[in-house]
Amino acid sequence: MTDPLARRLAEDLDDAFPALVRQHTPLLVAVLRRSGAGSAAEDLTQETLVRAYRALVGYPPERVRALHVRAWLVAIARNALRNHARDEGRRPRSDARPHGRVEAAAELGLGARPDGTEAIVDGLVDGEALLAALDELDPVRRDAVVLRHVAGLPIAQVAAELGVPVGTAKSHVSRGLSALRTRLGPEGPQGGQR
Amino acid sequence: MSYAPIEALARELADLANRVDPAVADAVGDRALDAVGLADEAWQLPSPLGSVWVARSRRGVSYLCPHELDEFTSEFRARTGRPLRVRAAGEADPVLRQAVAGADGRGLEVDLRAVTGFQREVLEAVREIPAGEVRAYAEVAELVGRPRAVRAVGTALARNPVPLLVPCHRVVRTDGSVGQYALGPAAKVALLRVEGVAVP
Repeated sequence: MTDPLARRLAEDLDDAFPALVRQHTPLLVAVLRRSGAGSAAEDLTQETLVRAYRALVGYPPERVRALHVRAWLVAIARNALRNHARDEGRRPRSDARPHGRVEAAAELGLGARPDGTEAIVDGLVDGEALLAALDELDPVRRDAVVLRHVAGLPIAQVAAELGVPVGTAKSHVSRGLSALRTRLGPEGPQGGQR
Repeated sequence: MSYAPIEALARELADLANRVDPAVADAVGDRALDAVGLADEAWQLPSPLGSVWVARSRRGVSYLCPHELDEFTSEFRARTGRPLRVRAAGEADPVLRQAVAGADGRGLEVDLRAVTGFQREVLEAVREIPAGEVRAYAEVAELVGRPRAVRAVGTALARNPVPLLVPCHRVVRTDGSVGQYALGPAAKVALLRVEGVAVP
């Protein structure tokens, strides 16, 4: 099954690329934020899109037509994040910092309420607690959960991205979800008493 | 003590991308597109309708509107997906400047990619109506081979991304009354009078 966007990119890259950007930017920002990029997520998203465009310019049309665009972009984003982490590692502590509660709330579209507590996302799971729990997972399980459920990649692509067999990838995803559930558990659905 | 069900967790995770602030996503996307050279240039230029903003891609003039810049930018993004790079009016190509000011703009390329199919055919037909002349909506419908699609011609003209350059103000009702105009009927009357058309 061909991605209609991939077909448009193959026909007329400059005409279709803005559609790729508008369609996939929120996903890339979300995936990078949840993969440990913290405040660098937006710059890394921009870098991912620029790299993607430059790569597409050099690809023959049949290769572009066969792309699974979302999975391909997520792979570029993870590559950009690895390079960024390596460069950060060489530098003394900079402004890179983990996402705080305020940023997490803003990201969920929640403002702090006048009484100082935060609103709770509709639904069964407290959104802010979910982000915090995700950030605290073991990185391999976190990445597996983010690739499978935030990025929505098929398990085979999650496995390829993590460089592990499919069975191992499944196990990382499932253990990651269980760990998330345990962390969110005591607070309970609806966030419990705050 | 109850636990969040796995299905609810998966749904919340899948929804994280939808919760990214749209203004953040727009700004990141704009910067990326500008960095790879896919932003259109924009100028504020004088026209018979007063001051208008005009955008041009590498393929031609893509949008023209008297809005304020903020509204122009967000409407342009919604129509085309592209960002704008604002230029000083003095840097505008003289041919563009003259066409926007009311000279014959038929030599200027227009970029109608944001419009498709029938609507684009209508705009291309209307482009050829010279100053000082008018056509009826029904005549334009005939020109594009859909004589019964008179109302659809009106709809296509209302969506015209480049008024003045595709002179939709030169399309009037069969009885000679001016009919609707995206920028208001008064503007349509004023433009036709400037071009020497007798308007009731």
